[in-house]
Amino acid sequence: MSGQSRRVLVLSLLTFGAACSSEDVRAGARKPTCEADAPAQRAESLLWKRGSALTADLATGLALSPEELCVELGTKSCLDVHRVALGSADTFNSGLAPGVERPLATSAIAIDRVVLSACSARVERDAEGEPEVFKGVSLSGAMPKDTKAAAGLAADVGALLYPRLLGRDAKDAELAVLTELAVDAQGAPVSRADFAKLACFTVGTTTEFLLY
Amino acid sequence: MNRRDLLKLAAASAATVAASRFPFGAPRARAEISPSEKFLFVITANGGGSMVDAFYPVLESEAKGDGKVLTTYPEALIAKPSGSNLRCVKHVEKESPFSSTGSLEALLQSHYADMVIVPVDNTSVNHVVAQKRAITGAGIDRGRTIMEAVAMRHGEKKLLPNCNMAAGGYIARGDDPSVADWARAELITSPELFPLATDSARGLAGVPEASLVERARGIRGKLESASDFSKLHAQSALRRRFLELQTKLSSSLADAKLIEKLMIIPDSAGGVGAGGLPLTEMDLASSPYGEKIWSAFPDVMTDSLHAQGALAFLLARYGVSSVVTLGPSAKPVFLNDKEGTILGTPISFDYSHVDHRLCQNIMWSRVAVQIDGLIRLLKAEPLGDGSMWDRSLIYVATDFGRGRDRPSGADTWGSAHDLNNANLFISPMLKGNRLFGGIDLATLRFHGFDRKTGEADPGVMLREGDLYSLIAHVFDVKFDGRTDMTAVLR
Repeated sequence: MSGQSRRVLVLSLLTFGAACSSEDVRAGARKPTCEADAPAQRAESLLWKRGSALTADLATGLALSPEELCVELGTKSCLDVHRVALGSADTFNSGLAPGVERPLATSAIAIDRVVLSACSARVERDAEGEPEVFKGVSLSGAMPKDTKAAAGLAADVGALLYPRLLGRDAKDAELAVLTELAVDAQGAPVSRADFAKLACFTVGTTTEFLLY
Repeated sequence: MNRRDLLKLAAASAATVAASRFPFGAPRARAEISPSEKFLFVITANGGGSMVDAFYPVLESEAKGDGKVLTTYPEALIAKPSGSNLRCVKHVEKESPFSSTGSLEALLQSHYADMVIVPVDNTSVNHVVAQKRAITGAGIDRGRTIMEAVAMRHGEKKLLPNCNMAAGGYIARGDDPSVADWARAELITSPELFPLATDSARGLAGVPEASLVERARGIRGKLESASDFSKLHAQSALRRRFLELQTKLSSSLADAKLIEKLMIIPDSAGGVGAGGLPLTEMDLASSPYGEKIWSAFPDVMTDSLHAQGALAFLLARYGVSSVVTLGPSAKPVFLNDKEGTILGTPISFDYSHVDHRLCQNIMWSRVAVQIDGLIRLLKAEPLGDGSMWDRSLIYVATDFGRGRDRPSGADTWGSAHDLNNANLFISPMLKGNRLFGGIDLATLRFHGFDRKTGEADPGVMLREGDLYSLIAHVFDVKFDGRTDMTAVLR
């Protein structure tokens, strides 16, 4: 059960037991006798960052052209292959216009693929040539075994990624989470290039980047 | 707060729990099928497929009155296999840039025992409206599409219960808000590459190894929780939906290894099949069913109808879907070969406005390619005491019929939309080899039948809701207003 569902269920059970009535409020009591203040039905506060908007933000954030972001099996752009799952219309093929109302079952994976591919492309380019995103950060070799050094490197990478992708600085708590990517499941340090790719992927697929 | 508000709140909380597909943790969907399952395939004859130009043609000599001014056929163009009560139009030889590789004659020869024709008077001549009514029964079941209804009834434990590769109004979302998200259509526009949408990393060049990506996906959840964004938008249903997809369904799809099972592309690196891709070099592989599906659908890399048919079979075979919709779009298939082959006609069956007889012949042949390939694969796949085909139903949905008028003796003419038509159903679960109802040989218009007895009755008019109800009977989908179509069931 999601946290939200659990909260609403508990809330409803509490309110059932509270013998709460509107008469108490009308009586002008300073403090309502209702134990719980039921959450009002809130309108959706977020919009889905669909196909071309996602493409634009990713391309800008990672200094890549849309064509450089992702290609499936070396044949077709991911943005075309997963067009509908990414939320775009598909006017000329399936006649879908506008795009789907709600994310499809495969939307999250499609987004993962685009972002992971884009991040990897950026890291590879920066590792081989003049860096455009990962400036001042070495992308060769392994992540430091020393946890403090690893945290420092993670903070450097986070300081580069957050402004570019989320338009803000990372909080210390967020940088601490990113540091966990420095090792694999067995605790062995990953390569610096992999760390950068994974950090970029993780930040770039948070709902903060995908929704607005 | 009064008692009414409390009751509303309790109902809302219960609905919230119920609406979450995995309210108490995600059960892993089975990737295999049980002998009691049934499979629905909706093949869309997009644009208006006329039954008198397919599996119930009328001889010019049979027509009452002047057969030359009606959509009749000479004897040389009609085939009636031995044992079949149905007949079909043979290949129409005509100079044209458009072609097809299918054969109605071969299809009828192989499958007439399971073919049923049900007359209908549709209620719209607008393509998109009519297409949607063809799958919603014109709203008979609260506005649900039959695909959503079947998915709701049978697909709760499936990973992608309702997959749709069609186009136009056939991909329309139903109008019933109570249909769960998971039962809505998963739209697929690129069947040969669709398996890639079931795994976050495999097949991508230059990315970290899959185990690291999987670990990162888990750590992402902590990053979410640490952000102020998550606190600010904790109530967002859209955000919750994304998180559910990221954390639960994505893992289930990857764990089921659908990227391998559904991969219809031949592996050229593995030396398998021509015209494929070097999958092995990308840490991928063709489906274990590769050889079988390519024998039924050899052109998966060049013909979208082949790719759709192949994927449809695999989605059913691996227990991914309860219902799959497929069919031609408005675009024909350009093979880009030196002959300049174009499979199908522009705007699909609606090219009948330009050349009725040619278009109907070519497009019905195209649909026959999918029907025949799918049935062959299903028949060859054991299930329980028989095969998957024993428990399958193919509904050939179409917008409406075409006008029956013809300029006297013409071979080339354009036809209008016509509400009167008949639809094709194919299934061993129906009383096959039969037209239910009849046809007026003076007008070539179909009429219906007594729904209880199955006897033809010129006074009965069937509607889209009756076609919907027929499928609903087969798949045990109950709803108020379902018409009794049990006379058609075996």
